[in-house]
Amino acid sequence: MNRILVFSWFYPPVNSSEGLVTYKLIKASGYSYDVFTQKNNDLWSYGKEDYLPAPDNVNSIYAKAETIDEWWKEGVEYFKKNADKYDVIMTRSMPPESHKIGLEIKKIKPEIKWLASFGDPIANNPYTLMFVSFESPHSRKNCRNILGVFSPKRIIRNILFHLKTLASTKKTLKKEEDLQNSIFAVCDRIIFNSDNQKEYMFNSFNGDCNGKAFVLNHSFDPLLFPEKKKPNKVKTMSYVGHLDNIRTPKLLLEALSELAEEDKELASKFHLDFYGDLSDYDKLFIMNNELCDIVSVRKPVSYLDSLKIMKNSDWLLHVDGNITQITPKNIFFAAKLADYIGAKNPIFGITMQNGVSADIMNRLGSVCVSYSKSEIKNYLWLIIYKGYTVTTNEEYRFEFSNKAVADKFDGVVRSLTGKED
Amino acid sequence: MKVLTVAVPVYNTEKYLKRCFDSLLIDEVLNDIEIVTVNDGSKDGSLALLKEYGDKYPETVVVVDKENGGHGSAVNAALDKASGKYFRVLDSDDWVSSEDFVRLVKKLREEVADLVITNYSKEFVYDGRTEKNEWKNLEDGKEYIFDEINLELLDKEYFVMANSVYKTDVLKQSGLRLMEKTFYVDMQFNVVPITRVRTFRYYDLDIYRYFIGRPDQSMNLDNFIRNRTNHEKVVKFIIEFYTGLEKEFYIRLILFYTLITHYYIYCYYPKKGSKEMYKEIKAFDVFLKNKDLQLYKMMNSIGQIRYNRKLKFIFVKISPRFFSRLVQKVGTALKKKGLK
Repeated sequence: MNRILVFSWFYPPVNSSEGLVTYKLIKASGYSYDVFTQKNNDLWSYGKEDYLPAPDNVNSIYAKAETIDEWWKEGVEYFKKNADKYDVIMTRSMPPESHKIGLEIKKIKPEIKWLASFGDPIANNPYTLMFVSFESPHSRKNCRNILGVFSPKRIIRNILFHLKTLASTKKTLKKEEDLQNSIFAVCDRIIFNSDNQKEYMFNSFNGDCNGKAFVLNHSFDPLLFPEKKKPNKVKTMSYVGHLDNIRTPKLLLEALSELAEEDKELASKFHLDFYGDLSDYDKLFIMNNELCDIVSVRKPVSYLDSLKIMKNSDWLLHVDGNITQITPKNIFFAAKLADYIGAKNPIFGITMQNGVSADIMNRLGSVCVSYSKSEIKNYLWLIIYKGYTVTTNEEYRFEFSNKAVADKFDGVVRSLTGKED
Repeated sequence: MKVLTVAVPVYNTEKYLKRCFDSLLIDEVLNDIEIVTVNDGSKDGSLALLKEYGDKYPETVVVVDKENGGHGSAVNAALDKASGKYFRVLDSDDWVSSEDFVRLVKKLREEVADLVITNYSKEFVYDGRTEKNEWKNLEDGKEYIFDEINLELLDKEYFVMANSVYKTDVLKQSGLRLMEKTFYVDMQFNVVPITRVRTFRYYDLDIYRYFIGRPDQSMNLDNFIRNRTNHEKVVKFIIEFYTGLEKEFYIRLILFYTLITHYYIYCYYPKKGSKEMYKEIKAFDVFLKNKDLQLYKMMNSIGQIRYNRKLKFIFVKISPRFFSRLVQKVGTALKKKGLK
């Protein structure tokens, strides 16, 4: 079979969660790949200094483009010139522009088989919706008195809000939804990373695409992990990656602060490291509550260094944002979680009660708590003072190895082409 | 002899069991506690998980597997098996603060009071809130003679499943049998054994964590309406049970709050009126009047109930919510003008 052509804005050496997911997957696949990517722009990535071992079955094609807009157009041009070389393409978001290439290619060569692989949803992303307000600040509901209700000024402002701000927001959301739905309709296979994500994204789609949909876990690559060093003198918990006001360890810090209050020697027993961004609120909390000897906030690290940290920590902290007001189930499967699983160290997860992370961590045997300071404090207490640990479900852990996931992926390709690799 | 039996009734709570058991199974108290966990005909993987705990902690965890009979039947089964000096119930989706639990068990080793009460918290995990319920007027570690307490000391609170640890003998001698296949039987647990309690002691320990996973769970509006006949059944049981008892004054306090809930199910919660519910609440009101006039009159201290009675519950048939809001608004307006 011909090589599979992959379009991914992010791909090593420009590392981001999306690119690394693709890298680990195709590295272990039985097929050969050309990856159309770029290395001029590392915006929204973890940097471009981290050279991962180049897989034998993958050839990277770097675009000249420096912006996403130029990149996807260049991608289409590349395909036009090489259309005969490929029978199968895979587009990988985020950003969604890679799927735009897929839509264009299907117009050029309708018989080509197209796998659209999704990271976060393009439309109605809960994280985006958390910041969108559909309620006018000038609505009648917000009037303080009867005069406000009949105030012409308020009425005009309210109308303008609906005509301008709200209409523009709705238009953007509709555009995203249209793009996502057109991808679903035109592509041949849709790859989601969890059933929860699939269910959520199909909610806004009017057709039936279930037959096209496949769920593939994010994966870890066991070959990228270093050997474990000596045990830590102080019990160490690490978080690697981005945190903000929604994805916040606030309750964990509060729980830790209470434990520190009860035990002045806590720093000699436990240390928590954050590698990456943390919201100002949380940084201030650490300082105001004199937790600096127990909690460290460190600079972001390269991907390979992050694996080293994961391997050498006693506990790995996972935090998901609470998006209950948008959806009752968490739909975000952070790729980092797969690497945590690969590191073989116990995971301490703070997530929504229902959804992909809770399902994975519960089945794996991790500590999986929800948004309760008391629950978090209880487990911290057990870990710090009672030597609590977990037993991992090894059989399930293996399902996240890139070999296992790539085998499934190869099956999806076979179902599409009817050919062996 | 074990110091404490913890009864854990289980019905389809596989995903919460780890949290519940992790919080209890602390090495330093394993010899002191007995966990009698009753699988009440779960359809998920709960039983397999319980058996794993039973195999891993054979000296501590006793697994009882039975056909589904409801929460009450599971507590009854656990009580039958209980061999500990004290007995408490921990629902399987809830947990305890391990640190305070260890402290409690150590105190129970030397304890003599018939009932030990502690604090508890409601954990609203969907938005990260905690609501602590503590006994503000009671003294930590003090033993009280039940019949001598002033109700004001309890500050409108009473002893519930979440804050009570009873002597097992007291429970057994009280003849407590919770109704099977019936909701709200925890009210029986709150009332029946108290008749045998001579002394109780308060420890300022925050033991029980009551899990609230959904915004609508604490009120359980739909459930209240759906299971209202169960509620009535238990309320009637308590009314029949308490009449003429020595501890009538305390049980009447519990009944007062329980009856407020019962009337509210009819007079406040339904979105639309219902002829059936109208008939039910009218009949219940007559029952209460005939059974206990004093209690009946006590309920008039609640505006909602008083106005509904005056209007012969007609709004239960039309729109209880509309009427309820109207009463509230009129009440607030009158209060502002100092007319109330």
